Parts: sequence; C-alpha cells; structure tokens
Amino acid sequence: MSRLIEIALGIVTGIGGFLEAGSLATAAQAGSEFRYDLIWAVIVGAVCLAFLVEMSGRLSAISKHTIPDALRERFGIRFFAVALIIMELVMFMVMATELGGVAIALEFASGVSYRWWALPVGFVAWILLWKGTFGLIEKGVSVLGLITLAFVVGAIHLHPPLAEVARGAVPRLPAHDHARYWFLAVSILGASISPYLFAFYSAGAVEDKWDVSHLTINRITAGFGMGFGGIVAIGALILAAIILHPLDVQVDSFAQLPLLLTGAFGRVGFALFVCSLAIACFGAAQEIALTAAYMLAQGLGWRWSENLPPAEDARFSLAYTILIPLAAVPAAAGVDILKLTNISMVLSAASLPVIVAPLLILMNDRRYVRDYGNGWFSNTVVALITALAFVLAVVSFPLLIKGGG
Amino acid sequence: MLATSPGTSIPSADVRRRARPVLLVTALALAACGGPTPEKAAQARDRAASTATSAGLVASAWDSGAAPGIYASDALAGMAKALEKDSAAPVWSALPGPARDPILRELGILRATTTALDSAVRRRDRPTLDALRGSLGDHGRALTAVEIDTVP
Repeated sequence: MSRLIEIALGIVTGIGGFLEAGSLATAAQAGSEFRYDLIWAVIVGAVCLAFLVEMSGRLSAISKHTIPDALRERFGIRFFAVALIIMELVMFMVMATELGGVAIALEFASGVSYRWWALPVGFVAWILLWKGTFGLIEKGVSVLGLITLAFVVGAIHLHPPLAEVARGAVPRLPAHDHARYWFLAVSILGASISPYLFAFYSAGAVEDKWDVSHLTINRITAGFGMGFGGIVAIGALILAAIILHPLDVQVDSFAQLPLLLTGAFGRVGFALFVCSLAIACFGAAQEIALTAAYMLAQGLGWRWSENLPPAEDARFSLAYTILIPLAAVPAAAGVDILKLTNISMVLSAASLPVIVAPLLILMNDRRYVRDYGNGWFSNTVVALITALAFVLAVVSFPLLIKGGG
Repeated sequence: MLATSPGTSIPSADVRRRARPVLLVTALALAACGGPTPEKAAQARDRAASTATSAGLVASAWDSGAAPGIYASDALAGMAKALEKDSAAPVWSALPGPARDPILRELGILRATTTALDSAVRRRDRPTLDALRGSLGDHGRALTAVEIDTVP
C-alpha cells in the first residue's frame, strides 16, 4: 500500500512540477503564433525528460551517487568544473525567471509592480528552504502545483479541433517565419528538458534513500509523471491557439497570459491563472535553488541534505542563501521577465550536452550501475537525445538572435 | 591570454583552430543582428498590432467581469508603454516616408487610445470603454493594412 502511495505521490509531483514560467510562456507563444504546429516539441521534450529522469533515479538508486558527484568522480575535477560553471549559470538565470514569474503573479493580484515583489518572494523561498524538509519542498509545492491542470481542463472546455491537435503531434516544416518557429521549438525543448530537473530528481533519490527495490517506482513515476506533465503544457498551447491565434495576438508579455484562462473560465479563470503562475514558479524556484546548492555541495564534497538542520550542512545552506537573493535581483531591477525567460530556455537547451552526454557514459558504466545499465533501447534514445542536445547547442544562439523577437 | 607560438605574437595553430567555431557563431550572430530592415519593420508593425489587440482583449475581460480592475489597469498601462517604445524604435528608419508616416501616426493613436482605456477602467467608465475599444480595433486594422515591401 505504501508503495502505491509513493507511486501516486511521485506521479503527482511530476505533473504538478512540470509547468513553470518557461514551459508556460513558450507553450503560449507557440500556440499563439503557430497554432498546434509545435505540439510535437512539447511531446519530444516530455519523452526525453522522462527517459533522463528515469536514468538519473536509477543511477542514484544503484550507485548511491548523485549526478554531480558521479560526474566529478568519473570525469575528473577539470570536466566537472566546466560543467558546474555552465550549469550554475543556467540555473541562476532560470531561477531568476521563476522568481520573476511569482512576482508577476503577485503584481496581477495586487497592482504593485513585480519589481517590489522580487526580493520578498526570494525571502519566502529562502525561509522555506531553511526551515523545510526535502519532502515538503518536493511533494508539498508540487501537490499544490496540480492547480496547473486548469490549463488542461480549460483546453478541453473550449473543444479544440482534435484532428488538428493530433496533426500537431507530428513534426513538420512551418509555413512562415522559419527562424521564429525553430527558435520556439528550441525554447520549448529547453524548458521541458531542463537539466536542473534530473539533477534534482537524482539528489531526491539519494535524499529519500532509494535502492534497487525502488526501480519500478522510479520507472512509473518518471514515465507517467513527466508524460502527464507535458499534457499541462499542451493545454496551455491549445488555449493560446484557440484564444489568441485567431486574433493575430503574439505573446510578448506575461500580462497577456491571464487571457488564456479568463477566456475559458471567466473571473474564476483569472484567479486560477494567478495561483497557477505563482505556485508553479515558486515550486520551480525552490527546486532550482536546491539543485544549484546540491551541485556545489555534491561536486565539492561538502556535507549536504535538505533534511539536515542548516547548522549541520552550513556550506550547502550558505550556497542557496547567497544564490536566492542574487537571483531576485534581475526582477527587482525591472528586467523584462519574458525576454529573460526566452534567453534562459535557449541557454538551458544549449547546456544539455554538458550533462546528457556524460550521463549516457555513466549509465553504461558497470562500476556505477552494475547490472542495471541501459539496454539497447534506452541507449538509442539517450544517444538521440544527446545528438538533439548537440544540435540545440549549435543552433540555439543564432536562433536566439534571429528568431528571439 | 591567448597562447602564442614561441617568439611571435601570432596565435598558435591550435588556438586558431579552437577559435574557429567561436568566430563562426559570432559572424552568424552579427549577420543576424544587422541594422533595421523592411522585414524587421514588418515584424515590429505586426507586434504593435498584436499589442493593441491584446489591449482590447484585456479591456473586454474587465468589462465582462472576467478580469479585476487592478490587473486590467496595470496591463493596459504596460501595453501603452510598449506601444510608446514601438513608436520610438529605430526599425522604422528602414522604411520610405509613405510607409513610415502612416505607421507612426497609427502607433501614436493606438498608444493614446490604450492610455485612455486605462483611464476608463480606473474611472469604471464603461460607455467610454466601449467606444475606445471600437476605435482601437479600427486603428489596429489600419496599422496592419499599411503595406511594407519586404522584397529586397
């Protein structure tokens, strides 16, 4: 029975934790500009993420290593240092967008500029990390994140043309604005396959003391949690395609996004949107802050655990204590959060090879995964993801400039 | 500091080989940035029209009770600011006068109308809001009707 509860909680965590500022904004931009044509990018992103998350969990359950810890041990400190710098930079930017997302939700509710909310939001995020446990951060906020299912219900409520939605699941060349189309495809993939997600999951497996007996739970949680999570992003894309595309409205500000749910549910939709944005971004900001601190601590051999009192893992706690207020600075300074989101998602996509390629090697190294290494199917999928990651890394910067708007 | 061949200030072949991808990406980036072009002007025109349509949607949402006044006013003020920024964008310099002048005129009207919508929401003045929404739609269509020749 407890296993069933664990599986259910894992799936709920996957669904509730999938949507955040990046996946919401990129899905809405895709729907408003290209109708259903980019649904395939969300599906590819969710499938890739499910595979990578499953592998991260398996690596940690079998080897008792987290990804950063295994990276440093297997590839040496020089490679790890490069990976650490890239990952920390990307996580910092994504965390800044998430804190900005919460601040914007509060601006919608209060009328007080998001700039004033950024630091208080950062403070609340910090205090919850300081006082809370891993279970609270992972499960608590993600369960609240189920409110984002409002996007799925809203999409169903507006009766989308199912044949066209299904056609969108198949990749195709765009009829117009090629650079913008591929830029959004890369942004969606960057938002879905965020390296922080599987680094966080791997740390969680160690925090929760997973072992071989958790492999089935791991597989079900990763597959269903991330798969259903992708449906939430598709819901947002469909809403934008139905409500904004016919009017030629392009999403270039977060202020347009409440229209997705007010169009479906009226006044209740506005409240649902504000809560969804605030909770989803807050949850993501906390997970990223933890992951950024985990990467430093696990890679540099510091004592770490969100379940320990801060005095017992002082350097780990100090890491997120410094990172959170720094990440609140861009929003407090009035940086355009949507532009920051797009840049962060592209950088996130570009950083993928740094972590995905070594993960493929680790998952075939018997010293780490013993007899639980990847089979030919998983290896083929990760090889494809690695190739995709390299392509994304190469094309993302020119696309950012050419199609970033 | 770049590694150099012994006795010279010329970067070694190894450094030059390693720098090639960086130079390629930089060249691509610079080529993509470029200056104002009619194509970019057409994109900016469409973006401004989209902002104006969004302002109309926000006003409608407030009018129907779907969006609270605090959000509607805040969003409309932000959209008016975005339209003001669009009016001052250097991208219009790529256009000849007969295309540029009507665009700048429509942008000015759209910005003023969006600001007036914000005021109407603050005053809860629904009749004025209705009239302004109609005007916003007319001028948004007039903006997108301005033809820009994007063929070089």
